[in-house]
Amino acid sequence: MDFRDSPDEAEFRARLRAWILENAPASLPVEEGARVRALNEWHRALYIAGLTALTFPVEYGGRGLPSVYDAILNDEIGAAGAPPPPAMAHLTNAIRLFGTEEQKQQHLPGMLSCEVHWCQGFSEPNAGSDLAGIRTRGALVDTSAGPAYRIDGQKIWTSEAVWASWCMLLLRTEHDAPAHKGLSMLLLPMDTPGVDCREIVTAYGTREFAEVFFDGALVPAANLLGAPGQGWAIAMQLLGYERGPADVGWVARLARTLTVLEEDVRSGRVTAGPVERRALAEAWVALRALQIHIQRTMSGRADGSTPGPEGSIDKLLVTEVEQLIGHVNLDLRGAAPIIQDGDDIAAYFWSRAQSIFGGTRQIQRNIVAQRVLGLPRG
Amino acid sequence: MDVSIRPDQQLLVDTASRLATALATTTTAGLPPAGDVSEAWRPLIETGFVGLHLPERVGGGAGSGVDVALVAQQLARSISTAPFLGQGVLGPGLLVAGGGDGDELAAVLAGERRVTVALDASLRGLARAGSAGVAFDAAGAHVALALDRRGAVVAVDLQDTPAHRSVDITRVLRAVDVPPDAAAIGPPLGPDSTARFEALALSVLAADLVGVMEGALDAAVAYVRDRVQFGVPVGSFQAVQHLAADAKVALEASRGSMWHAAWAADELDAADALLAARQAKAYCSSAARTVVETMVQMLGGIAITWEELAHVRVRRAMLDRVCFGDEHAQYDAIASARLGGS
Repeated sequence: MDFRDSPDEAEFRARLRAWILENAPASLPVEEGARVRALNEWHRALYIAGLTALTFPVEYGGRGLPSVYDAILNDEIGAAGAPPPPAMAHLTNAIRLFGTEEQKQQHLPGMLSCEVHWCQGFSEPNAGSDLAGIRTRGALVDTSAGPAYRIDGQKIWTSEAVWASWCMLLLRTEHDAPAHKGLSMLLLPMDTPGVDCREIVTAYGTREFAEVFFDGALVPAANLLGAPGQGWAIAMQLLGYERGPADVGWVARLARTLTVLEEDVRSGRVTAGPVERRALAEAWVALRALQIHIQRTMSGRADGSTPGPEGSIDKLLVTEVEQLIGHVNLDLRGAAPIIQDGDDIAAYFWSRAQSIFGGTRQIQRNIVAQRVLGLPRG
Repeated sequence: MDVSIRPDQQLLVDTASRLATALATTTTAGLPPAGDVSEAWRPLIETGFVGLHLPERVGGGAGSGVDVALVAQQLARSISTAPFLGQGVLGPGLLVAGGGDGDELAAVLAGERRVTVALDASLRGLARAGSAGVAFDAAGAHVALALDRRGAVVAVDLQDTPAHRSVDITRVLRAVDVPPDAAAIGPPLGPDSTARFEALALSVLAADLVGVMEGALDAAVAYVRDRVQFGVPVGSFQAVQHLAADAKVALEASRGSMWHAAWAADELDAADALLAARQAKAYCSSAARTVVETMVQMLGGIAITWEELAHVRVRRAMLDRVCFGDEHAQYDAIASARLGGS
């Protein structure tokens, strides 16, 4: 056991810290379009500096570094109060693990360089926690261009769909198979005729969600990721990464909230009496517990293993810590964020979403109880 | 960075686990008030666990903070009464830090002289000369170490001191008066030595809490797998499963923080080691109360009986939490360290 950086890790951390200081935007614009563009520029800058896809294999455009580098990236970005890194490991790893060589060559470079934006079409109005209940159908048909899937149905809560040019779509293609066995994963261009994307405004006023409607959209059968009927397995693997707090940059996001709050207390911009100081210390204790837990998770992947059901422990922990920080941040800031709606309220609503998306807190608890602790299914 | 148990550490865990099983408390029948806290002392000497973390030059085991924590965790998991924390780690550690001489230490490492620490009446820190204190984990111990006004280590004889009727029936607390003029055994501890000793103490207490949590969750999960109501195991109900899942999250996050603190106790400078230890002690103290209470709820009525071991785990967690400061005490110290002021 050694928490200290190896010489290579220490050098990377030092360079990263200096680079962030030099390059990170001090704040993001308030207006949403400008904000999305600024965030994308930040992600592009990270890519150009060689600071994204750190742990992704070299042959597909990553840096091929050990998993703990993702923990280092998140720690340093969070400590600097910089915007979070791009959330993509769930999608890129799905293509890496299940794609054909051609699909990897076609898609991974654009994803890793943050030039081609993707969304993930999983949830439906009647398939949220019960994901295997999805009804969006793909019917295999012959077209002049070869075999294709004709897609009908509806997705919802599709994050970033309005800005995405591709969608990783979970749909039902094997109509005689039982629920989990009948799903497949399809790589769908969002500009396909018959795809209609309608934005949903979030509780905090942004447009990062959408409903996506499919009305006879045709997608070549060659766009299938993995084999027909393999969709559930791919989705579970993908969710393992999506639930990993360092895989998708969540821990950097919530560390940022606490870093900024602590700085405001030190400088006197936010006043804190004994009760508030204690609350702030409790939040720091929880954040450190999360960061250390993530270092442990990432060390556990040193042998190249992929996330298992233990990832749900990480998701539950990050949720708990994020919601604690969400409360402490608002408690200490008092009237200011209530009088003037802004980032603190957005961070608060985001912290509430954390226990819903990527599998609700209740689903994560089921997984931990049944698949980690071995309790019987009801 | 490699946050995992190395193979040599796993060997130590295996040894400690075997010892913990041999020294496990499996029934409340032999514990106070009916029986006495078994001293279970010789096995600690035979395995080299007394003075495990002391340097080789003084005859210690040259083990790390992590080694000591892993042993403490295993012993707590089986609710062993072996006085490892007080007489294996803290007493010998403070003796060496305070400049205890070779003969005294040799007798300690041979198991003939048994030394623990005396805490002040709040249990938040070491007892001071001229005040009443509490000898911690004192079953069979000959002396307890405290500090004089200058911060030098003094020894208080435990012979004929009264035992408290402590909440934790797996460990003995004795009432001591530290004489105002007690003779120092060496020069005053410097600020670094003091911080490093406190970091080690907080880390092993955190490890004890992790062990208690682990034993509690194992017992609760085993019970709800077997206990049938409404024709099914109660562990198949989500209401019960979610209690267990939350306890598992608390346990795993505690484990990581405890590892980090135990590692930091040796590897970071004294101030950072102490901050890491405060973080772990705060997290584990808070988590442990939740986890043992969850265990009580999962076990149901039997947890409220004397016969069942559940209350013994709750009791041990209560003492661990308070010693060297519970989470609230740690939050205050952390706020001072991180935010300045007080």
